[in-house]
Amino acid sequence: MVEKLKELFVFRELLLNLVKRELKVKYKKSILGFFWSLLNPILTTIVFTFVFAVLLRIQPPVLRYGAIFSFPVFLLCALLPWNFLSISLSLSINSIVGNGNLVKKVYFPREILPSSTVLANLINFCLELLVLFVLLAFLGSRFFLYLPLLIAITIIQTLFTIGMCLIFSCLNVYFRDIQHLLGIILMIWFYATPIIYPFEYVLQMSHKLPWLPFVYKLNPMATFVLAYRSILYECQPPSLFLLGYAVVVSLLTLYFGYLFFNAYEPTFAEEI
Amino acid sequence: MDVSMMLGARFGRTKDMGDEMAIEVNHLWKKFRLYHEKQHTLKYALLSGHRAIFEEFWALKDIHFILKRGQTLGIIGENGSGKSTLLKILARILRPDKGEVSTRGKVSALLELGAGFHPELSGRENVYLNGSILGLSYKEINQKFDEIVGFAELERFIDMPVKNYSSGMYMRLAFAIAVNVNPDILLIDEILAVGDEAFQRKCLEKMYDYKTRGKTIVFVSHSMDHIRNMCDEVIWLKEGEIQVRGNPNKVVNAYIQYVNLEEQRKGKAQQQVEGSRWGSREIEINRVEFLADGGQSKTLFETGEKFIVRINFKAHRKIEKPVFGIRIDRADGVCVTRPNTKLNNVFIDSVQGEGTIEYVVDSLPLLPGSYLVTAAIYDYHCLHSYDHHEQLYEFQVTPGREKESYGVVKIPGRWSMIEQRDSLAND
Repeated sequence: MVEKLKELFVFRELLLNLVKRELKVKYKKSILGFFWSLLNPILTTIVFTFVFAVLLRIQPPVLRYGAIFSFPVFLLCALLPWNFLSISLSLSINSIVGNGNLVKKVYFPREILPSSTVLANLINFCLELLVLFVLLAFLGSRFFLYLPLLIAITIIQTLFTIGMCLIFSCLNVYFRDIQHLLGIILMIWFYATPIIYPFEYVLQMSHKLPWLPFVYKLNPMATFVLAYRSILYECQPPSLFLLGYAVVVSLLTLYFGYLFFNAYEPTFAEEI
Repeated sequence: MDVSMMLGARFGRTKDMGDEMAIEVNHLWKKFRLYHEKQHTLKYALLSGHRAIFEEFWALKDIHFILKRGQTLGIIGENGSGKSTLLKILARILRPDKGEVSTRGKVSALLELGAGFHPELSGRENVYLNGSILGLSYKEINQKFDEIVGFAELERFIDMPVKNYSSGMYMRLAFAIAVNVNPDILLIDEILAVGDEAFQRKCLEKMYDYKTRGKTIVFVSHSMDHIRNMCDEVIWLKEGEIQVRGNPNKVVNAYIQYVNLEEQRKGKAQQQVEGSRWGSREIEINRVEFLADGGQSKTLFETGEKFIVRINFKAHRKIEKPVFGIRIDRADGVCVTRPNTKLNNVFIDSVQGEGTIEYVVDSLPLLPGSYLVTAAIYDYHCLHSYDHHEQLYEFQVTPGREKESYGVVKIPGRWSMIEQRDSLAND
């Protein structure tokens, strides 16, 4: 284990270069570059706002003084972290098979491949967050109160995402149809996470289904989304209990993902 | 049996000189699974009830050797004999099923040039990316950047995306990066097979350079010339086992003989062998003559005389890149020389119909004795014989005016006294 980590350290420049490669390739083709990647969340927000806020009348909770009241902002605070996970997963699931040429011909720690995709997306996510900050500042929100906590949550979510990506990219070597399955998994996961609706809606159901809120919070993405939203939208510190849970789940996911990946890594070059 | 005992002895000996070893391969086994219609899908795994039908076969069986630092090891063998598998295990890309490999020093494997190049990125960006994939640090690449670009002769195009490169430019850049990786152990798989003559020569020069700098090299090739020239030791792999290991000439000769016999056995291209003649005869040697200065045919020459071997051949179809060669052996078996058109950089594009080729020696350096001549025509890789006349022609050399007569050849040396002190006079 220690040796593995030492080796990872030796190859840190490769990781960095692969992250750079991913970002460069992504933004190379257009002058607008990064701003193109903003288009996706903006359009999604417009569509979702129309469908869910205007047509279906989903209402974000009414908040105390100092916070703002706006469905698009309410949505974005959860949608951006969700996109970070879902884009990372859909891109990195193919990172071993897609780089088969490299895996079969050159030796390096394979976990670098999915990790570099996650890190490239993390940078993308951070840039999107910055844009969101500008928007929030413009609207007069006091989101900056708990900024250090937000950074901590982002780091924890990154660890969680890397863990998930290690598992899925490894599975994809042996079962290529996992890719198609992933789309469905992500769709269900998206609706099971309070992104387009407030968590209060779930709480309101608890008189009929008392176990529902508890089951909801088992989903680590729900925990993350609630934490992001409470800092950015509600300008409140997130529940420490929830944060603790997120840390434990993320570290376990990363650890398990790493073990899983390493158990199968030796045969990658043969299976691709 | 014999071979393994020899290796066992070698193993014991080198173990004592532990710090000299660069690669130690200890009873290595590697198994592959051959699946019958396996699909890499979850659907298949679920429906077939986890029972994929496969055959196992051992790609490498009990491979055992030690390579000392600074040595160049060649690996030869037919396709599918396990050469690349062995190289990949040495490079840690594949894991052995049994046995172990230990290496000392930084290992770099050139199994494919330009692995990891991204077509959208510029040459410059790819140098950094590919460099780091091969294990170079940012600092090292910075230092060597100009050298790499210069070697690849791409100064003007370095900021262009590599998707716009010609394949030659692509290979040059990839190779320039690869040779600037500074490993202690270099593993090379058939890289020399790509590219034109000039490129291959550049590769070889670089490899010699590595050799003289005391690097350990493991080298897989189908080019017997390169193997003969580069290696200190050769392993011939056959169906995953070490068939023969030893000095390059011995192993390569054994291998070529085996390949010829094997082709013959399989009846490939109607191989014919009569006595000391073999080959597929798409191109045939009709006559071999020895000519003197005036052009008359004879078999008795004097040392220092002009000597011409003339080969008349007939190609029944168009033969691409044939290699003509002769070998002169003294009657007692000492090989004097084995020139061929490829070694002497005479490039023959193709031949068809009848023709004559001559090997001219202005001043025959052979000392008195009886000599046997082998004439042969091979394909470009000197593996497939079209027509091989093994020691079918004979000529004699007499002393003539030359007094020197002991040994094989008269080499163009001179004597000169540099200093002579009359020490007796001083006493």
